[in-house]
Amino acid sequence: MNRLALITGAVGGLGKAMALACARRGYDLFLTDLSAERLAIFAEGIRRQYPIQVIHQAADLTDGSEIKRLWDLIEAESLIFDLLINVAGLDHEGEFLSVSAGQTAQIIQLNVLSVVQMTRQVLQHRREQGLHIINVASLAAFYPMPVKAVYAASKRFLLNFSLALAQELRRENVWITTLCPAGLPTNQACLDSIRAQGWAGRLTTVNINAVASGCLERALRKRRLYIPGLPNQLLRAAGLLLPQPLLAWLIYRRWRRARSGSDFAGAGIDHLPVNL
Amino acid sequence: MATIQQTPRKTVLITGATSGLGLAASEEMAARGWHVLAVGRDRDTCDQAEQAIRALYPAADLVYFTADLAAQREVNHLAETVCDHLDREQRCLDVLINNVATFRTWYTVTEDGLEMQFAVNHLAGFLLSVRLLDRLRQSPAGRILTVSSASHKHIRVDWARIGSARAYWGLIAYKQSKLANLLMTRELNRRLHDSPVKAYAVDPGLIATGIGTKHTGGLVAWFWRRRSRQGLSPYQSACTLIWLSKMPPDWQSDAWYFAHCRPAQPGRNACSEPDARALWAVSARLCGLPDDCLNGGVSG
Repeated sequence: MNRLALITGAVGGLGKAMALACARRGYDLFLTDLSAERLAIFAEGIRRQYPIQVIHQAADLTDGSEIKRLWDLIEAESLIFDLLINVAGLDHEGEFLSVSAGQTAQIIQLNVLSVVQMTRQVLQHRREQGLHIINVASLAAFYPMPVKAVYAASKRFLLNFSLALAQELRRENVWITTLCPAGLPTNQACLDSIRAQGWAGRLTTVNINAVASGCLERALRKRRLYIPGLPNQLLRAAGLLLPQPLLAWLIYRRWRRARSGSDFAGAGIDHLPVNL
Repeated sequence: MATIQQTPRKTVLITGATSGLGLAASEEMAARGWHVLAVGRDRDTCDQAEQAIRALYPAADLVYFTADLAAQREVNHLAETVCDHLDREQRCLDVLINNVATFRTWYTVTEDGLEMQFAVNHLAGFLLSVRLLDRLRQSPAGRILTVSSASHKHIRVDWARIGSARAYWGLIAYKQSKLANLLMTRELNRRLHDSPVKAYAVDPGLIATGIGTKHTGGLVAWFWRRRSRQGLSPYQSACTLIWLSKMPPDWQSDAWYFAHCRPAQPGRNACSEPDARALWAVSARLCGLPDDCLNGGVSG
């Protein structure tokens, strides 16, 4: 019997790449995301490429009761997992008061609460031989980021939560890997933002298939942290050297300059100073 | 104002018809009074293309269809819509031009879980050809023209493992998809040898179009802008497509790859029959079709 992987946010750019990377390694897949229709299309696409089982179930992970329903279903099927990849995450970018309270809460519910709940649940449905968990944080986890304050803080939470839990659960054959990628070239808005940053964007961007397969490989080698791309590792090192208030100041200044100096329309350049 | 010539009114379907080569070719065909079914990705660009052509040829017999050919769902839907349209107009399809293509610097996955360039540049044309084959068979001389590129040369592909490579270079994926265009054309002719339907691949030459700038940016876009300045105009390049489309039914040629209205020499890897069969098998599988889909009555 194949090993079984559960992937959230499975029809987003990184989610699809993760699912394909797992399929290539022979994992059966349990995919979840918001849209049942897109899940069904993607699942069929994977089955045509790889001889594996693909199960899918739509769920809105910002809603605790849907998470519970998802796990009730998993329990009813008595599924046992070898790998959980928490990809689902979102951001509503903008200065704090320009983002509604509901949107802010949504970021925290999905990026923070759902990951904690999914992690708790999967620990009760794991195989004895071992369980790998990959939590997708962001390079933003290493900085206080104006204009993405709640998002960056939520990713910081994920980073610290994952590293701490990794230590706690090591003896129980549970290995947790935190993925901290820079901006990924997944949709048009991300591509525009990468392009808007010129050479810096180009340098920090890594192909998602390389991120996905590299991350999976490191997770199976029981690594705790993966930052794809040397330039991004250097950025992280710089983040460790400089005082946090100075970092916040630098990031905010760069964002404001990029905004005033750019002719890119709204959505694009609302994106970040450094590509996180 | 230009006049519309009255020659046999062919029915032609062309994908990627809202810019570059596709736009020029649809304009040239509309100018000849052909019934042109043009496919673009979104309504706005279709409207712009239609206005541009109607400004020159107000009586152009032109219909636009919107479909994002990266999604197989939309390719299938397009085929159904086109068949309905042909039924209403009581027409067969004379020429299918698989022109749509994209270039991506970054690895991108379609909703079907496929690499974007392979899905758009090759699989969309494959699936559309299969779905519309019945209509092409009704024509006295059905033609499937696929726009490839000289860049298909000097590349090798393990077709059985396509898409599973870990590394991704945009240009290599592009070259592979263009090699696939040729191998598909070859295999179509082999499978259709006892039918009047013929498939040809076309090298459009280097043309000044936006393919290298739409989804790239930075160095690639800069390089493409410089390079494409020396290129042909899309109208010069469209000549080969028009020339092949208007050939009479009794025109015979052993060649299946053309550039500048002349037979051209395809790359060595494009002539491998095992590769052509392997590509066919994998394409059919990735589209959820049986290997013998040309005879299986799946079209329509």
